[in-house]
Amino acid sequence: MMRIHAMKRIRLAVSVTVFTLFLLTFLGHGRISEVLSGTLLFIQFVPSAIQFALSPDAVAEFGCVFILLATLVFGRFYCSFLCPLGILQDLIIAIARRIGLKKKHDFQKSYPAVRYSILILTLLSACLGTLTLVNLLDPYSLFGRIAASGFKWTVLFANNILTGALEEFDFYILFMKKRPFTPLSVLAVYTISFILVFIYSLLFGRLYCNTICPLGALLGVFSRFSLFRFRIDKEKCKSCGLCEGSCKAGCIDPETLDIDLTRCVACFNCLDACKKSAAKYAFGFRSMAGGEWAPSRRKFLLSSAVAGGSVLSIGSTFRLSAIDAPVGRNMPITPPGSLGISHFTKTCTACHLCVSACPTNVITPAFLEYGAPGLLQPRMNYEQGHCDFDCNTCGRVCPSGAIAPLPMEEKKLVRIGKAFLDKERCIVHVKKKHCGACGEVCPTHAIVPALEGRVLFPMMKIDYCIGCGACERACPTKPKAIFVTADPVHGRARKYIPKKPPAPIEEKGDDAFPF
Amino acid sequence: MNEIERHDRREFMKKSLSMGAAVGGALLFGRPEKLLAGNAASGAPDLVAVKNGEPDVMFDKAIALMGGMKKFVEKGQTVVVKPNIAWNKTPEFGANTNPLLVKSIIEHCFGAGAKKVYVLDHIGFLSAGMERKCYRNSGIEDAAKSAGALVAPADNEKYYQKVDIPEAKVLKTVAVHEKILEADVFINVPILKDHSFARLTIAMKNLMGAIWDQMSYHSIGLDECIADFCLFKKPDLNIVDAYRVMTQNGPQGMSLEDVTMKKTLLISKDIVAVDSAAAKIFGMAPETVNYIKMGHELGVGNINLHELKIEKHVMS
Repeated sequence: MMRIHAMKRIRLAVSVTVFTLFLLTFLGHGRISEVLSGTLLFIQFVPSAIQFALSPDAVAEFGCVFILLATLVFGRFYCSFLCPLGILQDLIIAIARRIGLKKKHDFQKSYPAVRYSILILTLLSACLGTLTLVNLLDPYSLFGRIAASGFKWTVLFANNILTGALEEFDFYILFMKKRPFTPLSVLAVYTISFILVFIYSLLFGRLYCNTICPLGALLGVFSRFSLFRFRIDKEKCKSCGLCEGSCKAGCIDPETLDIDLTRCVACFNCLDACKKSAAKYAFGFRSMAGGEWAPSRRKFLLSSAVAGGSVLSIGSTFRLSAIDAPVGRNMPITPPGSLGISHFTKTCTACHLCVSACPTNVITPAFLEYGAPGLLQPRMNYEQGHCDFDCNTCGRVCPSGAIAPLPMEEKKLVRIGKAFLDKERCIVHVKKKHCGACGEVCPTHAIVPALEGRVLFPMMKIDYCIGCGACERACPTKPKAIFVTADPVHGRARKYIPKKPPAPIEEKGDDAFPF
Repeated sequence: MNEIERHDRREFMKKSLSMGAAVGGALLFGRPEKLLAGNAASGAPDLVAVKNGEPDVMFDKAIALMGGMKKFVEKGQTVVVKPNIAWNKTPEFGANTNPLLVKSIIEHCFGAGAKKVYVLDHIGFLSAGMERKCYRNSGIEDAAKSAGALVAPADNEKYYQKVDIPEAKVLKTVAVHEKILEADVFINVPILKDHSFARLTIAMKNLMGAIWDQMSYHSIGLDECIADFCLFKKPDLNIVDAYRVMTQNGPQGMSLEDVTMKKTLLISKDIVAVDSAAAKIFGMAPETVNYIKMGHELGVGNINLHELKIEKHVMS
């Protein structure tokens, strides 16, 4: 076995650790995700940047500032050390190498026009208030969706098979788990994006990162000026091509021996590959030999102007549809802590960590329910579950501040919607027979019994309702006789203070049985 | 046709005569309650009520008065203990059966020679993962495991099997947990508490945790279904936990204000009788609780406590 270059070893160790923790965050349930997400997701650029833009007092904002500054020093290290999608691609590339499918890489043509157009489109559309492009392309969120669906389902499937086998022998140590509901449309997006990333990495290395990923393009702008940089010592180089073959980003030009630092993902493969120590990673200022830069700048400006114009027009229609699309009963209910539909759609990157972490599976991915600007953002789905009164996991795992962490007592009063009782459908009202399934499960005293004759009728006390959906979930009628409609801006419910029961009747001494 | 009818009539006459003789005899010898009592031969009580003790201590006493656990559990048998574990609440809220009582029951079962004891409850129509929370926070999972019981899941339809109840009024078919169907002994361990929409929940209503589709009960008719189910499965023993009693805001409970210490335990083979007695302890006339009344009318058990042999004991 050959000795691996020290820097590459560090990269491997860090990335494997980061990736494992990411998997645990997304595959684990509730508690594990809560603990890990706080520290791990701090370093995710896009969620952190969204917090930075919208609530500059949040701590998480420093994540993106830190990454930008560090990129100015070390280059695009994020892409190889911290980006979960990058590490996933590296894994696929490593496997492809091992099985001989793609033994070596070649220098690739750069597509700055495509890359920067996507970046500008994404930035502009985000400024206009639609995160759709961010959500689709942000590598962290894209990875999150792959992990929360494919990876997680595989784990749950294995868990359930094993559980079933163990239960046959009276071992009750594992438990059956339901996978979160996913609409077919969302499943299609998951699949397409995974196949895209898979094929790209299998055949072209880090092509996704260098042509499509808007974050890759943005960090590339900074890494161009990084203090530490890769270069090839032309005196020592024997033009053996080993470094080029090892470069997943395809950014080492074998002709000129230049390394395109805007595309280099700082993986240290070239240092490891070079037998003559000609490949170097060292402190040094940029020599302004703008070979590639000058001619493409004009093209770049042109394309950005075109892109800007089109995004403005498309974006404004998206924005309008955002205001128009979700109304009335169809308006999606957003998780507690998200403040309301407007704040939520502006901040959620659709990483689906909340979908994966939600213990009751009530948070499910939406497709177009929020309108075009909120593609894939999750919603509360009371057909699948209810929001557990004693749970605030979603806010504690959300990395972008779309769902703010709420203290438990606060969460129990946040109103995300209101229940409506349809007396024309309600069993007790229609059949005059006992049911009260809704009131039985209501955690806030919003549905109370009212005795008429021999029958107890459910009665709404809407001031106490927080819209958790337990009643809707429990209601036995189809369609539901009680259902929750969204509060577009979350409110606050009244806190129920239980009345003291009437003093118990004095016991008639020791032998007092009432029969 | 005619012959059979005649034969039937003769048979009927014979039976009535012998019944009459038996009743007369019993009256003569001064023990009419023995006729109605299930355990007439052994002289064991129909219902045992104990109060003013800790849950486990009261159970020790109560089962002794009942004639010991060996009367219900034989060596090598499999037992299902079905407490109420339906709420994600800690024991002091009185929403779930007292874990100490559950533990004591399991120990008695093993003491009588039980091979296996399962503890389970179907918590109902709520969402994924809730059963785990209820099992854990109720304290029952730990208590049951420490006594050597197997805490079995009930939150998946695959554990249930459809059965028919031909004599039922409305609940003609129902899916019952397989462990309950397979068990030799079925012990029902409800907690007595207020139920805002069914008046009370005690032993009969606790059996809703034995079936899969509780939603159907609500849509077919809650009281009728609760009563009908007892026609299919009468527990071998009903043990009512009335140690902490939730007197309002049931079945979930809002705060500790809702809980009153009654420190009482009831056991009986008769599910209607035990509900009737528990209703009285709660301070409610049993006849006002629809399903108890229906249970009596269906012949599931006896609501009239004065017709039963009741053994009462106050711990000192």
